[in-house]
Formats: sequence, structure tokens, C-alpha cells
Amino acid sequence: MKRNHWGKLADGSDDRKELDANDLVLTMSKMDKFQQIKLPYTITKEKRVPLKNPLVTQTVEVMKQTEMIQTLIDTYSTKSGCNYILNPCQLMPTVHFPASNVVDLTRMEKITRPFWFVLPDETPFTRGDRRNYVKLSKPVVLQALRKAACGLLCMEGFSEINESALIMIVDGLDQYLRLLTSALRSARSEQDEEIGPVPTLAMVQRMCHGIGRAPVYQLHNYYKKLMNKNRDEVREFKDIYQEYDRLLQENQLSVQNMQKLGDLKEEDYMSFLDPQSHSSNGTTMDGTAMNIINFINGETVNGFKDILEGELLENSSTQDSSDQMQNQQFYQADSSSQGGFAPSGPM
Amino acid sequence: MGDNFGIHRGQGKKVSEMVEDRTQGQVLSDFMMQLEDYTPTIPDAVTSFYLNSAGFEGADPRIVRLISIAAQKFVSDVANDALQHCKTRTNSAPSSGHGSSKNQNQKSSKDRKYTLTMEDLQPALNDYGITVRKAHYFV
Repeated sequence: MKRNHWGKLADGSDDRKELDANDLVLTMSKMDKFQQIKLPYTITKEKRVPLKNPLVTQTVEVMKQTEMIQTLIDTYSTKSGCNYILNPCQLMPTVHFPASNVVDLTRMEKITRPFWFVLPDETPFTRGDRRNYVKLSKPVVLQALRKAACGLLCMEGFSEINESALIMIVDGLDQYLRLLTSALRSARSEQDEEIGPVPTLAMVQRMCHGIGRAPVYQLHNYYKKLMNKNRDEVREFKDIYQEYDRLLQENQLSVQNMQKLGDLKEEDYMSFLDPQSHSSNGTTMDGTAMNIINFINGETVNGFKDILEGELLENSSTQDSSDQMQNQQFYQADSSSQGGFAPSGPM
Repeated sequence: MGDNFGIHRGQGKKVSEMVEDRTQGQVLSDFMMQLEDYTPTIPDAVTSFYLNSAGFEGADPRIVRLISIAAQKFVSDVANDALQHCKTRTNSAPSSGHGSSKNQNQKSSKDRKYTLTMEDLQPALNDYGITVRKAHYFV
């Protein structure tokens, strides 16, 4: 015999198996792909929960791009602080950031307005009209808190997080939200007059006071700090991008100059020795090429040529001549002792 | 609840004078209106879930956003404190190599990647009154 439990829901929704609180919930993009596979429930577009804060998303993206460009600059430029290209022959890679990385914040002109700007027109939001929100389940809420916590941690400066720390911080955030709402309820019940189930700003202020947190205007300062951080990161990105662009142009210019020198030919190589010789293409080898060869060899042009032709041996220095005299005298002394032929005159 | 919580701004003044005359209430009033353009990291639907669990229904969207920002600020404060603990711990650790220069230290601190662990999160949460007893199997 089938039992009928008292308090059972008429639509039978309590019979459906619930997900565990810590189960992961897929995002909409992945849900669309899994839609082709059989699912125990249908997904409708009306139940979408946006998990994107444009301010945080853009700040995090800008921070990553700044780090990427800084790594490129450190790799391809000198470390001495002058920021010259380390290797002129090596072409510096160019970086292209896809347009999809630009957040809606810049397109909707929100970031370009000054901080103190307030829209003069009234909207349902500014009037405080009630809004209906999507009903969520506990696993979805925890998943959303997980993503929110990761985004905020990234913005503060963390690049990685341990699984245990993530669980802890999500649990902490969950308990903090429960604490806030219970403090709000206490603030409402403290008031003597009849108030509907809608909280007011005064109740929020008492709520912050009740849990020992900073007053409501500190939230305004926090919001201002977020905006300033975003602008600081964008400014830093622009500065680094300018420096990267300058180095890139310098690098491309140096590579082009190296390519203009062209291949060396045999006749051009031999013509280095004569300052008045002509190269295969008809131009005179002078100036720069000769100076380079002289600098490398540490000799004058004439001296280098004389060495090859053996003339320098006859035009030796005084020290060399004195050495020759001593050698000659030694030779004469040696030959006289042995009774050999002694050549006369200098060698 | 249709008015601006009873706070009204003055009229017929120059911008500089208006900025000087703005009291804390006016600043808060403008902040409440600016919240329309700001989408908190914690979605409104999530905050509404917690408000519903406490017995509130159909709340003022401005109040919902305020509570979302309060929770977001909590996470940011905890993360900031944990980052300070992490930096202090890594800077006080003995560095390898022989006599690293000041530039290398500055550069390495800038390029260093920080990982949030229970070791840094625990003292940060303790400062906010949340005592964490770390389980032995947690890293």
C-alpha cells in the first residue's frame, strides 16, 4: 500500500534527488553541449545567472597582459636599465590581444565617466522598485561563490590557490552572508513600528554595526578603491605597452640594417686590404668597412699589408735592431769558436 | 520606498561648491544611485537567496547590491591580509644564491607568483573572528 506522507508537496518536487552542496554545476556554455546528452532536467535561458563583474574581469585581464609584455621586455632587452635590445639579429615577437578580451566596460563608456558622476534621470533601480530574482539551489549558489572568490583573489594578487583554501574561503563567505542576513533580521525586529519584509538603508547600517564591521560609507570607499585600481592597472599597461612598442621598432630597425649589409663576396673580402679598391658592384670600399677591419686587427692598413708582403722585417724598430746586433755578435762569437764562416755586416 | 531615502541634494550651486557642501548622506545617496552601473562579483540572485533564507522577500535592488558589495569587501579584505602574510613569509625565508642585489630582489618580488594556502588564510581569518581548525588532511 502506498504511503502518503503529511506535508508532501503536491507537484512531487520533493521526490527529486537533490545534488550535494559541494557538487559542481556546469556553466551555460557547457550545459548547451551536454544538452545533446540526456539530462534529468531541462535548462531554460530564463534561469541564467550572470557571473561576470566587468570591473574585476577587465582588471584581471589587464594585469595578465601587463605581465606578459613585461616578460617579453625582460627577455629581449638588456638588464642594465637602459632597455636596449639584447640581440639585434633576433626579431622580437609581436603580441596581439584579441578583441574579445576587451570588456564591455569600455564599450559602454562606464569607465570613462568620472567617479563622482551620477545619472540625473530616475530609473526603476534608483527608485528602489522591487525586482524578482532567479530562484537558485544551494549547489548553484556555492558554485557562484567559488567563481566570485577566485576572481577577487586574482585581483588581489594571487595566481594560484589550494583546493583546501578554496573550500575554506567559500565556506567562510557562505557563513558571512548568513551572518549578514541574520544581523539584518535582528535589526528589523529591534524596530518597534510595523515594517514590511523589505530592508531599508537604516537597517543595513544597524546590521553593519551589529556585526562589528565598518559602516556603510566604507563600502563606498571600497568601491572607489576598485575603480582606482582598475585605472592604475590600465595606466601601467599603457606605459609598458609604449616601452614595448619602442623596443619593437628599435629591434625591427636593427634587423633591417643587418640585412642591408648583404652577403660577402671574395673580391669584396680581398678589397678590404686596399682602401682605393672597388667592390664587385662598382662602389668604392672606404670609410666604415676599413675602420671596422682596422679596429678588429688593431693595425693600420698599410702595416697590415706590409706584414703580408714581408716588408716589415726590414723596417724593424730600434729594439729589434739591437736584438739583431746581439744575435749577430753571438753568432760571430760562436762561429769563431767553432772555426766556421762568419758573415760580415748586418743580416 | 520610492524616494531617495529622504536625502535630497541642493540646487542652483556651482559644481565646486556642491562638492564641498556634500555631506556623508549625500555621498551615500549618490553611491546608491551609482550602484546601478556596478555589477557586483557576487550575483544579485545569490544575495537574494540568502535574504530569502532570512525571511526577506522582493528586496530593494539597492539593498541587495549593498549586501553583495559588503560580502565582496569581506573577501577582498581577507585576501589582502592573506597576501601580506604570504609576502612576509616568503621574504623572511632564506634566499638561495650568493648576495643577491637589490634590483634582483625587487624584480623577483614583482615576478613572484603567490599561492593562497591554509597557512596564510588561517591567520587572515583569525583577524576577522573566524577561528579555523585545520584538518590534518588539508594542505
